[in-house]
Amino acid sequence: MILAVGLAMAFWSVAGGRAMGADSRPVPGEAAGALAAVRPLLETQCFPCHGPAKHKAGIDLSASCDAAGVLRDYKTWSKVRAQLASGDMPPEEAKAHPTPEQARQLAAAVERALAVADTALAQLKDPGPAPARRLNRREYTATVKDLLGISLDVGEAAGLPDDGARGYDTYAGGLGMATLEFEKLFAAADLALHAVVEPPASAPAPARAAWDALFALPAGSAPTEVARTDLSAFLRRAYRRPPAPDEVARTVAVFTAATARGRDFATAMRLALKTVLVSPAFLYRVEPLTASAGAVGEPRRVGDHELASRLSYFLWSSMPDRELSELADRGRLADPATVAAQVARLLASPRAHALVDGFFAAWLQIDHLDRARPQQQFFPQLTAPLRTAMYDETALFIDQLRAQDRPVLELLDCDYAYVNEDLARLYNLPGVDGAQLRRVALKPGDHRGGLLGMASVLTATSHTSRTSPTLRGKWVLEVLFGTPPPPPPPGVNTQIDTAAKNADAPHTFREQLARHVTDAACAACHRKMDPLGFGLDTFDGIGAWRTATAERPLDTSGVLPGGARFAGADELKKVLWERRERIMRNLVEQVFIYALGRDLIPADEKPLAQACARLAKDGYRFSALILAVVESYPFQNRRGAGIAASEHVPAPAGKP
Amino acid sequence: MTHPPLPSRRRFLRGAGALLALPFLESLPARAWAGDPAPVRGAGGPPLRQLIITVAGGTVIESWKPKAAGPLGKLPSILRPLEGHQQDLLLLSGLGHNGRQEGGGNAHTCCAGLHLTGTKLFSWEGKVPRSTISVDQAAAAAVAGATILPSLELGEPNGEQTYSWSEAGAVVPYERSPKQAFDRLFRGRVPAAPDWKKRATAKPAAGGGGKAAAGSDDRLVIDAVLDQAKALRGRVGRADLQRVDEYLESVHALERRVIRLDQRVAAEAADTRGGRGVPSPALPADGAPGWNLRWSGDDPEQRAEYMRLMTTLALLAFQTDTTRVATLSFGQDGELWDGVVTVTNEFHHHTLEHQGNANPVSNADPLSREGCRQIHEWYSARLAETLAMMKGIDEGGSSLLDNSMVLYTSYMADGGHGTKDYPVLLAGRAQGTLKTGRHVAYAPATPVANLYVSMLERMGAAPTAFGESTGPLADLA
Repeated sequence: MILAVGLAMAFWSVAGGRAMGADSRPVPGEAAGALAAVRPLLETQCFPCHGPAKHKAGIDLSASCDAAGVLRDYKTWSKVRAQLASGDMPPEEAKAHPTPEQARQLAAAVERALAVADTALAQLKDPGPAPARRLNRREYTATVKDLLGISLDVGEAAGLPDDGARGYDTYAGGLGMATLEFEKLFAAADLALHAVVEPPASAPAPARAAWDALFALPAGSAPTEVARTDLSAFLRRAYRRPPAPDEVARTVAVFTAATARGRDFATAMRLALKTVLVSPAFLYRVEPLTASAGAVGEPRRVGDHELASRLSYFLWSSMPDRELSELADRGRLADPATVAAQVARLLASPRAHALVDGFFAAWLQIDHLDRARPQQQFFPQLTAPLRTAMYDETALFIDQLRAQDRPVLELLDCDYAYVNEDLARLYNLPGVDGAQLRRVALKPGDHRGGLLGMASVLTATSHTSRTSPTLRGKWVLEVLFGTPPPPPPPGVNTQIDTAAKNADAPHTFREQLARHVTDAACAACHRKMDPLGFGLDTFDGIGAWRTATAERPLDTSGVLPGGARFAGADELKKVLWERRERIMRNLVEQVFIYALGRDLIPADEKPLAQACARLAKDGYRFSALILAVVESYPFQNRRGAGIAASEHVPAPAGKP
Repeated sequence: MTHPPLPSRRRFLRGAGALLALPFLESLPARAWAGDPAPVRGAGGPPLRQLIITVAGGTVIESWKPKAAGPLGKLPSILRPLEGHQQDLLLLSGLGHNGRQEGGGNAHTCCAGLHLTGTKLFSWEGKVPRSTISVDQAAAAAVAGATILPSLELGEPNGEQTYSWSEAGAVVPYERSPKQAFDRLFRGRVPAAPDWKKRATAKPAAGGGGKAAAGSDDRLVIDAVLDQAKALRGRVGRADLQRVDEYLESVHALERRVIRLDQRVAAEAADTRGGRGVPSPALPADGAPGWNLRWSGDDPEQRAEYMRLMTTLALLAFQTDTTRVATLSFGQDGELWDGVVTVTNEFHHHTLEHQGNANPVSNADPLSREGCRQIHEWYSARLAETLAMMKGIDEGGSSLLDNSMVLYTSYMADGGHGTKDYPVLLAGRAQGTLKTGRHVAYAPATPVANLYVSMLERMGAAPTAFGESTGPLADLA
């Protein structure tokens, strides 16, 4: 049975789409009028579910029904455009339906309103909020390693909380400082400093360098002066900028007070260093106001030291190294060519592997593969080493895109894969022995090449004992296209699996799942998700190729916009390839979110479009993806939030 | 350094071993069982403690709720492991949440956001959830100053299960590692139980007072970073002020803790002079692999071990008056229950939850529902162990259970994300302020928040408003 599913073309261009035709260019000031003219239609067709009384899917269109509102909620109105174009809204079960002429009027009005917004957005210069963020667990651990020259995983040792619960672990909104977090960071500072072990006195000078720089008092020198010099140098590196004189003075004062308590030089230094490691200028990436901050409210270019930090944490998840720091000290990072050269240098380093663990694994939702549901009792091949190899394959694939500066389009399709013996057996590829991953060339009939053939992705989106077309379809929509369907409405009966797993059930699993599409409460989303997932049903729950389940043949067919039919993963891959520009646009959006640590705002529209154009022009090279983000307006600038000291509210007082 | 960065568990255990004076598990006092009059609070004895134990997955209501209100007789099957404890139990049915979620999240985050807050509106700012203060944090605020830690949050909830919320509405993280929890509780001190009789006559040793004269070297660090942060406030924009202030608040919290610790060390030295110490044979030996236990997604036995260890730490924290408010969160919905669920080949809790719940229930898969029931009966057996441990801890004539108010519950009413008719079980007589041994049935949708108000009143807070509460819950005493 082939399900005729209406995946409308416009659906694929949801979110941040461009104004479509030249004829829709707006007359300035028309936007309010555009929507005002169709307000009665909106009230009868849309507001019953998305109005003042009900906010289904969290959407209240009545709150943004004018020019300013469309600008503010650009993404929502883009969705409205798509839903109108596809005919998905109003849904079939709605009480009121527009006539074809009304539908045309509504669509045209929304199109005009968005076009007006596009014009306004193109002129908008707003780098967006860039609040101080606490170093996340990965960044803290890497930074402390670099700063102290230790190998201890201090995040693990101190049990720092994992910061990934809010999507990317760079998301500023998730990087607060609960009491427990500070307590752990306080303990972590001790652990880190204890990891700097004093080498034997007989050790050669280079082996002593790390210790001596922090704890050694050269014979005959004045302790306080040595402390001041060493702490100043340490502060410069720890704060990722030259420290202010009062910051040095306060740190040296800890050393002096400890000495006054009778502590020896090394102990007093340890206390002063601990002070640095738990101070806000170290724990947070703060971009302080400077004298040259410009007028209140005016955006400004970020300073050199700030840019160095942005670059280094983006690519390495750690503090700037010596070369980058010196360029910042010399004020050289205002020069785009210098920045481009530094990006190339940082990207060429194995340390840029941090992008794989920090960005790509989170984007692709394979960062918790160890907790993926499929179990060995149902999939005998699924041993712990295979689970590890699944992640490693994807990680190595992406890291090689970086190292060889290959096109990121290869995420969608390519003619090679990285496999070891376990994976090769799963993938049915001959002639691979041993645990080491290596590159193998693929033939067309191998069904691999790119993310959609990777066991990591296919396993992360399966259930305990079987595939989940719904989860896989959701993965395609959410991860590749950046258009996640909303969660099921509350109170919905989601018990679809039982009968399907019963061998005596009269219906195929697919027929069971088809209820998603006939039940109105489910249909709006599932008729988008499920066909995509069924296309991938030629892979079993851990990614082995199959043509049938134990009980019955597979039905992996679907119908796409314009009536194009596909069956199976190979054809689905072609369908996605045709929509690669949408997917690349989403990849750019995701990298923006990761690098900037915030949600996108309407003013990002133009920088995003520029970045996408740049990526395409440069042949989708990995380096172009990174450079496009680095050179973007919000990465290079920050809001001029300068406020007078008199506006400051008093600091909260402690209640000891 | 004035003390090693990691406390020495060896030192603690040695110290405890030398100070065995209190009766412990093997010598369960018979008097703690049914029938004894519970001590009255406020007579200078041990303080009241609040323990919340919350498990994943809701319950299976027909196997949890007794048919009739009134004295607790034979218990329904989920509660059967608690047979013999009836006189310490107060089962409340009919309670629910009526709040809602807006701006993001899914059904699980919604239930989690309402769970301990009883809030009217749980909302999302971008990807950051915001709720109102939870009952555990409100209780902690009520007793703040009395103990070293205002509260303890232990367990391994997943990222969606955010139960505890600060006064500012931010997520309060949970401590997942037993080793880290132990270090946090007893860093730099030997666990000792206060001599409550002596405390009643002596002038207050802990809380409120001024700064310790010199204190530990860490005080130098804290003072310096407070100054650094205050200076930084003048150099950042308005948006960052909030961040710096949040940092300041966390440093102040640590400062208070360090000061109380300095004071407590002196008081405990006086207490232990008479040979009193806290033995805790249930803890692993120093360096034993047991300290590194993690919540396991596929091994119920390991989960039971983890629960015992974390519970022991919470009780030890009560016993030593390190805190008076603790929350234990056990279970995530994604676990496998092979060996506990025996009626179906599906062991995945979340799948069982969904298949075992439907509206109407007759549409649900009976085998999956039985699987859910088996899981919750297993959880009840862990609760029975906890109550036995608490009864076995003597606090000078009364047991720790007598001096506690234990709330056992779940973040969902049932596996279908239900918010009506939660599993709500109180244990312990809360120093005579709860009339146990009963099942009280409330009108449907009576706010759980009303129970939270009643709990907070007992902890010494007088909340004028809490979540969606309409007032205290009737018929508890």
